[in-house]
Amino acid sequence: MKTAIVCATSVLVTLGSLAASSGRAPAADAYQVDPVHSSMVFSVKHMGASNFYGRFNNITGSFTLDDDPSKNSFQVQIQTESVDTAVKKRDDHLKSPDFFNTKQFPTITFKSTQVKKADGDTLDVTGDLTLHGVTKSVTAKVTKTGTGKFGGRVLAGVEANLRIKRSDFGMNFMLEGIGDEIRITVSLEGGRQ
Amino acid sequence: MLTARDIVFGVGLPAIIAGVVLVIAWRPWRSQPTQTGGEWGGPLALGVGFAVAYLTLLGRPPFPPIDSTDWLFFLALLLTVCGVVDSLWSISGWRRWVLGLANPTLSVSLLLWPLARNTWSQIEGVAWIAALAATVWLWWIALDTHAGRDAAVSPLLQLVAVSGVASLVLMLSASLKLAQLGGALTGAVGASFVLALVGKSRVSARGTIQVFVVLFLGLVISGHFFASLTALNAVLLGAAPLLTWIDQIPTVQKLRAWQRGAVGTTAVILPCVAALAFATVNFVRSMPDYGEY
Repeated sequence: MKTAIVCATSVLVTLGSLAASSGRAPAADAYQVDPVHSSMVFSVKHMGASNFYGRFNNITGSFTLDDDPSKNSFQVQIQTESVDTAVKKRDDHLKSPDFFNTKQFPTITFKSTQVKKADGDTLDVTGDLTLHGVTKSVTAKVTKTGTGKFGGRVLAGVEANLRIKRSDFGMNFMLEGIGDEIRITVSLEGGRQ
Repeated sequence: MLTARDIVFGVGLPAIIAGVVLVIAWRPWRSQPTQTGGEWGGPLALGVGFAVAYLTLLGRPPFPPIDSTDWLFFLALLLTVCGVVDSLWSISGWRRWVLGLANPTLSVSLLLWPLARNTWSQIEGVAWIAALAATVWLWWIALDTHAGRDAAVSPLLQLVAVSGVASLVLMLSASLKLAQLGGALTGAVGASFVLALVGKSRVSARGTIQVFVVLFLGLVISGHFFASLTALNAVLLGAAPLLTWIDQIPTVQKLRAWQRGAVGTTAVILPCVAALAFATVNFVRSMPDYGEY
């Protein structure tokens, strides 16, 4: 009799645990950005004629992915000194007080504050973008690009697109020749164990 | 490259504004010395001319400035007040030099604060700021003392030459913004030179030198630490105005006034030309094969 009660109690406890765990959502996956496989490119209108593209080569950060959009988060740091337009003279100019003033503002940072689902696999990620010493709230369209495995690590990728006006961030030199609107694409590959 | 707009609003406008202020202050048609009034015109013309050009070219900077080089606008206003006070009250001797140390210290600290905060250690920051503030201060003493020995024409011409060449060097050193401000300084001090040349009265550079030295060396310091002005070119441009003292060599002292002025001006221009040559070579070497970027 006692044995039967103990067995029944054990079964009930086990079943209860299983039920509780199946109802609990899995923890969000935290990824560390792989700087070698992440990219940031920007484009700007030149003399009203063409879209010119440049890039930043040094990107770090982390992001968290979850099925629940509100549990996703993104934070990125970009070293402004790594700006690269394939012409050293232009890069020097971009690093000067005329534009990024990299000695005074060595990093561009983004930290998400709110993530909502948009269309399909796309998320609307709102966050604080700090550029040229000015912090403003911006919203980027972020799409999950895929997952993979390499070297014992789980990989995930996201791609963000947004547009800003550089004058909003105090970068208003040569607006007549170089456009105010900047289109930015950031592709992040993150890894976790 | 500097555009026509840069030249008109960056050089012409400050020259016109400075000229108007100087005509009112100096009344150059008079045959009497300016000691009867008008010394305040020099610093006022230079400071206001520079500040108005800044507003026209770059817009009004926020206060406090986000970009440290924007402090140059507010420093111009402060220096104008200090220069006018200096010219009106004629504080003399060691008291003037001690009071004059405050401006360079404040200016250098404000311009280099981002580096002191982000890049340098505490000791490095204090050392750099102290050394550069002392340098600016000594520059001012040297030029002010020299300007007080002779008519202002030659010293003003030398300042025009130095700031004009510095503007070109800054343009070639990856900062059009600093080049534009160098042009504004050139235009404003150029008006002082022209009026000193054509005016019958003996004008004084007192007060003007203080405004010029801090703004000019502020541009050179900003160009070196935040743009691509090399240390060599910064030293050449910074040292150039000091070579005006060559006209105090006994052999040169025996020459006529205009000859002394020519010797002094030539000595000042030579290092400027060297800096321009170096900057041009560096610029051409780093340009892409297909021309402008």
